[in-house]
Amino acid sequence: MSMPNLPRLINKALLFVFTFSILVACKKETSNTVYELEDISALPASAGKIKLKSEEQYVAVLYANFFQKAISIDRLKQTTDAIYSVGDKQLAYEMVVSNFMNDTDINIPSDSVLTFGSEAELEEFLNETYKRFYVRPISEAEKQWFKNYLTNNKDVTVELIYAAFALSNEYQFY
Amino acid sequence: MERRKFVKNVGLAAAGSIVVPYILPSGRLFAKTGSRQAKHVVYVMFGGGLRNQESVQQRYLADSQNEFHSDNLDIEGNIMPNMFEGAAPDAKIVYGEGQKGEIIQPPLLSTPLAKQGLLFPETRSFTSSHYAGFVSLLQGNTLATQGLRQKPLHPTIFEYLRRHAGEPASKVWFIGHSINNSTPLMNHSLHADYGIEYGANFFAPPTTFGDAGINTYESSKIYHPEEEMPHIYKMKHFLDNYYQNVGRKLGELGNTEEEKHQIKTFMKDLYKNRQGSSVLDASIRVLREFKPTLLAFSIFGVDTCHGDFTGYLRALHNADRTLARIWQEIQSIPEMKDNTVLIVSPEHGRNLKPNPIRDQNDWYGYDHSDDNAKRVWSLMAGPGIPQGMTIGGEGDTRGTTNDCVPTIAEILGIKNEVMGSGLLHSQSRSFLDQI
Repeated sequence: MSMPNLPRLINKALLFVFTFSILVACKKETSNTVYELEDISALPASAGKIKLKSEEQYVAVLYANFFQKAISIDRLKQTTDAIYSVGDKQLAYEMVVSNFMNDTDINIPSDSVLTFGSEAELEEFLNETYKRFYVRPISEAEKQWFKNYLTNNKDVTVELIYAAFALSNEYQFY
Repeated sequence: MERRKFVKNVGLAAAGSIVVPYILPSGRLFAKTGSRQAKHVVYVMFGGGLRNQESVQQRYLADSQNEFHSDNLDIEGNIMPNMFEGAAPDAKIVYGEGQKGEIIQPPLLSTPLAKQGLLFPETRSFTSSHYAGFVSLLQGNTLATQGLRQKPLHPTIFEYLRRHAGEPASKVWFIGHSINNSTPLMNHSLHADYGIEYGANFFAPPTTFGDAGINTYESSKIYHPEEEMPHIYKMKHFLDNYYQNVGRKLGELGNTEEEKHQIKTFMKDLYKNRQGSSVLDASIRVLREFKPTLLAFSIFGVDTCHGDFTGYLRALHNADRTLARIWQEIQSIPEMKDNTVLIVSPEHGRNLKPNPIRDQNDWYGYDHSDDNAKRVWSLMAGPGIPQGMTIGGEGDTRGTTNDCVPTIAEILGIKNEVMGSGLLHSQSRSFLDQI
């Protein structure tokens, strides 16, 4: 091997090292780094509710939500007949809801949770209300809106909140 | 400068006075409608089917029973003296009060409605089926695809009125005789361009103000309209808006919060006094409270004719008194007196030949399936309606039940919009255009 080939060998070696280092340097990062983001669904939990409750279903579920027990067949029949007999269904539902609210057997939380409770207790009340009526967890946006509304309107009662949920569109779907 | 300000204000006021009448309660700008012949229409629909023979033709038992009995029943006479002019039967009186129906009260009206207005004694129905006839009377069309227990497929007169004249929901009412079959479904159609947001308020008095309604609504609270309901509605609107993001929204009839409060208070008053459980009583109270632009109500008692001809005669006579009471009530309300047109039409007739069922007087009943069951009549009275005029007669058919909708539309100033909708029967036209 003659000496003049030495620089060429050195050049080849350098080129190999350079190329190898480039390839190694550009290797895709495969570490399991987590950036504090949680997996979320593209659609909210309410998106699965697409079927409108019949009048019978609405009244039966509403009664169970308010009284924590099943409605009697006779009362269910009379209530749904009365709903059929009024053209403005929303108005009929408003009267049914307020009629249940007037029943001494109704089982709803006391207003103290709104007036004397801590923020954590208020959040717990909202969580429970969403589960009770919508069978789903409350979203952050909903929680914030209700906290703001209830903070700014001290005269709102649990009864009015429950009435709003019972009359809302989402409650009429399943 | 002051002059300029004055001119500007006058200009704005003038522009406002021109534009404001065409802004509907919903806030939409709308085309001008025609002038109104009357401010109110009360529309009475006879359900169940009644024969021209016993009503407008005043044949009593002569055309229905005489042929089938050895007794002489060739008795003619008028059993609807508040509607038609003519002498009452002079024998076999069974349609009044008392154990045998022999007691007849004098007419409530000194002048029969036919003499006060316009009578079409021989018109046609395109159907002889219950409810299909009602639907025709309400939508001005008779569709073969219309099913029972299905909302009307084409818009009803309620929707035309609310959409094209911008009537508030509390000014448009339908009082039905029951919640059975299609009745509670007829306050609005399924039509994509109309529908629930233009529908009528509806009560079925025997249920709404009977036991079911009393037990369901009487004890309901009426939340304070300024301190409590606004909170409920604000929270509900937030919840509805959130849910609407995933594509769900329920249509509503469109009673405003004030209208809802008025209706609830009205209902509570009737419960308190145990009133309103009949179609007549509820209709009268709706007239007094809301002074509706359009009140339609249905009477159904005559359907007993299938097996109780005597009961059918009594139902005809009672319906006649019901109409007279309504007319008297209209004349007693200052806002409606001389400003209300009453329109009456059966949904369909009954057969020419009887069925085999006999009642307590041994009289035969009548079903509704043949051509005679498509013979009906129409009557109207009120401002702008010719008085004492009769158009057509037996053998000279004029008009159909589908013509009631364009007639109401003409009286209430929306004829062009309704006729131009393209959704009426191809032969429908106002009775007033057939004079």
